[in-house]
Amino acid sequence: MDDKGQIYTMEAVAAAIIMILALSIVVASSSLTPLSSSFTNQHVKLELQNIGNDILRTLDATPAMNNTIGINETSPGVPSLLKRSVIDWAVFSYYDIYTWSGTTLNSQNNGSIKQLNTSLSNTLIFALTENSIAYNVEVGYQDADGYIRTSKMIWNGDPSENSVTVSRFIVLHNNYDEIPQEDMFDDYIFMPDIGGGTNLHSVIEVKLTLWVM
Amino acid sequence: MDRNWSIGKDNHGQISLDYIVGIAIFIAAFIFVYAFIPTIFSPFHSNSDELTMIADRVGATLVDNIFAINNSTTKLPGILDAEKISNFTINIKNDNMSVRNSLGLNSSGNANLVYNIEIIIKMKDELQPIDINYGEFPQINNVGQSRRFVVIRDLNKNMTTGKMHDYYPFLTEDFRDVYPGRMAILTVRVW
Repeated sequence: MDDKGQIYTMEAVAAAIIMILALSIVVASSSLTPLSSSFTNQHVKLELQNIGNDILRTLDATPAMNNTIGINETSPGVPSLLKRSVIDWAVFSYYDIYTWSGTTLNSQNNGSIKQLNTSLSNTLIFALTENSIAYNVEVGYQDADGYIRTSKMIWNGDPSENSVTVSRFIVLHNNYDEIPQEDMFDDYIFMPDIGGGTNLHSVIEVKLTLWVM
Repeated sequence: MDRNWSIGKDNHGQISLDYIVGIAIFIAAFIFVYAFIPTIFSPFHSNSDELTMIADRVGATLVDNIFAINNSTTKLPGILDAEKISNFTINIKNDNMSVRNSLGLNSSGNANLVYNIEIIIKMKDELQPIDINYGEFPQINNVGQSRRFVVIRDLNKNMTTGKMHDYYPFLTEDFRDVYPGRMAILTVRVW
């Protein structure tokens, strides 16, 4: 009679060990999931990085000229399309924030320029929106106290986890083509003159964040 | 009394035996599934990793070097010359093997193992893309693809038609004199 009780206990112990073994196999095998970052994921990020860098590079290498005769990148005084886009947004739109509405980039703060229509915005709409890639554009500058601030040009929400940010520095000068001296733009707190009386106005960082929707 | 619990010697150990047999069959079934889990997830495993890397490299070579426009002393990467694109199209149709060798698609020296390539240029405001190929298309192989953004300029303003317009007559007429050029997405496919 006493042995039966001990056999029950031994069987219970054996059964418990088998159950724990089964549980550990289940838990250990749950790490095999296809949701980890695969090579395809990395290639998508590489493509986003390439396209973003291509957009900023080609726009910065193209002078904003109206004539079509004699394409001449060696003209030093002509600002690039990227510079022109940032200056026009800062001056005419008063650094308003724009959001994609499905057809156009609309002003969010009821500004005077309702839709953003610069070279940068048109390029982004063609290259990215039509390929289901969402983007944000931010502009980094130094304020009057010397702190680095960021202002949103195009904001389409917080980016997803697989976002890529590319940036490019542009240099703005105090001349007629870029930031005219007599313009009241110099009195605004946005992108103030950090050159201290020289021809240099400011160094701006254009940051483009891309992510696949 | 003890009617619902039989302490008879015959039924005593069989309950545990049933339990052990059941657990053993369960574990055997689970180990079987566990051994075949990688094949369950095999549709998510890409076999075109090498091809994608080759497509990235060829895309970078074309955009930065082969198609890039000359600017008196340097090349402008990302800004393409329409004449170089049309020359490339003519060369690849005439002798695609030498063009593929020059792009580095021949890794083994065996003429049958040279990778195939196709370049598609989709320009802004053009409904039909430019398809540069030599008649070969992927069948059921893996394909590697890479996309770049470019700006294409056509400098042949004095001719009756620009070089690109001459080769691809479906292009709209005002492509020739547009500054800074037509925006385009260049896609390279390798298989």
